Amino acid sequence: MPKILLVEDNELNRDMLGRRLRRAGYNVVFAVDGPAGIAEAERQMPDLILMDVMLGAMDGWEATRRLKASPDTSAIPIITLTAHAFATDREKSAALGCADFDTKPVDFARLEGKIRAALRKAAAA
Amino acid sequence: MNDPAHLLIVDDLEDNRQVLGRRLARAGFAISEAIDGEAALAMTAGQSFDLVLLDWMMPGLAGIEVLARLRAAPATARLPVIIVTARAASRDVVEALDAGADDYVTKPIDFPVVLARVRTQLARKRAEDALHALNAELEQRVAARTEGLRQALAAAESASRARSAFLSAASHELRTPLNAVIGFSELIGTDDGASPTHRQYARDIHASGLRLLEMVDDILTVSRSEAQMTGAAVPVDVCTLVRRCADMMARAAKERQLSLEWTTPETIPAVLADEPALAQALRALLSNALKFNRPGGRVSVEARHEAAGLCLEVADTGVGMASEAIPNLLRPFAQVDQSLARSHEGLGLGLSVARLIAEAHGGQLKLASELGVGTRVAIVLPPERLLPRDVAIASEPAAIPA
Repeated sequence: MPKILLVEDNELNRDMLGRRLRRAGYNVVFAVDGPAGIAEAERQMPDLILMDVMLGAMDGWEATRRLKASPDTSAIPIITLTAHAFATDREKSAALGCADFDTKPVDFARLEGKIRAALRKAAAA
Repeated sequence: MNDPAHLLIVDDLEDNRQVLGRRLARAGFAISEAIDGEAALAMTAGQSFDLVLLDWMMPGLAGIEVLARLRAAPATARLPVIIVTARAASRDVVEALDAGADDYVTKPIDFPVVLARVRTQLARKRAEDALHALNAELEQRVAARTEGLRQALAAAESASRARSAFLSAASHELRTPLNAVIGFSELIGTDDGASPTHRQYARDIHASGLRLLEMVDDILTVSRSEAQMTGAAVPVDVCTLVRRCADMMARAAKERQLSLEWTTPETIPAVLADEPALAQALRALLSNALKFNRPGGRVSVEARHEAAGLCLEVADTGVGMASEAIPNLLRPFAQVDQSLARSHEGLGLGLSVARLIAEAHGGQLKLASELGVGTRVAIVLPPERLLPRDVAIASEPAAIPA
């Protein structure tokens, strides 16, 4: 059962997406902001991180940058999530070395496809 | 009457100056006299005259030298100069006119001729001055207008930046509440603990939330500038894209008693595209094809690899469009017949959305429609969007031996 770390500051969204992921069979752990996200990533060593980029304390981009810079966590695939429908965020994600990018509200089937693909790729690496 | 025109008579002979000066003064002109070329240049440098009568043959500075210097100085470059020369010297006349003299009179003086030529030159100069003034005013107006346009452009650019910032914020703010609506309704809709009725309610909320999201995205798409449109290109599998979009529309098709079919040959190459945008464009076309159709009608999607690139065509057996209405339907917010838009749900942005997205990919939207028969509309992506590896696969199928 792959472990997914969901970094999301909005409680409603955290709860909702967490439930959907659990129902889809994932082990889900949470963090509410960037620093907590980094701490949880190091402690839990999840198989994948879903990173909301619009966070309160330290934005998700910065947290992603630090996770990718640290040798301990750089191999964990990260999928960034944003509520902006602008494609520049996707380019930013790719530039930071993220596995993928998706927009919120998430199309769950699509997001799950991306999660599975990222996990497969990480396992093969 | 204006001030009398001020004439300068340049002649080394006092008699000549006085005779001409007196008669011209009597004719109503103000007269000054210069005894030689040096004096004439000093006087024209110090004050302004309306016309110079210049003796051509003078000791010291000759007439031609004086004329050359007058023409060389900006203040006197256009000052009318009539030269006074001996009757026989036609060579002098040619030389003088070539050097920039405006006219000539010959000695001995025939006064009525002098008067006529002076008046002619003064009138010509006035007309020329008026033209110059108009020209200067025109140039000033052009400059003022140019400045106005520059400011308008700067204001527009600033407004465009403000609009981008607003759209970015609006995008976020409008989509955020939809997270909860779409996510939780899906949870309840698939929750075995909920009653069948509640699950159905939740599925209806879910479908409504998705539709609202679609509309938000459409509005944002047509509100964006071209620069904001072009998204990151990733390899997109066209077959999957078509199937996914068609799947999303299957339920709406069933509700309207329409058949929905798609054709995606295995040989269709993958394309480099902004995947969510391309899907949005295709859904917009499908949504229109379902909306403007009749029960029992048909909607089909076909992906084709053509010389012009990749063609994603949606065909329907719907109400069709009058050819004169089509240009308006391709422009956002400009439906030709509001009653049509109102009798069908939705914002009426579908064709604009598809066109903008196709063009942002360097492609185009092709449209053919017949009123009462149906519509074929295609997103055409240019050949450079096709991925080369698969283009080879998509070439002519091998002939099967009989």
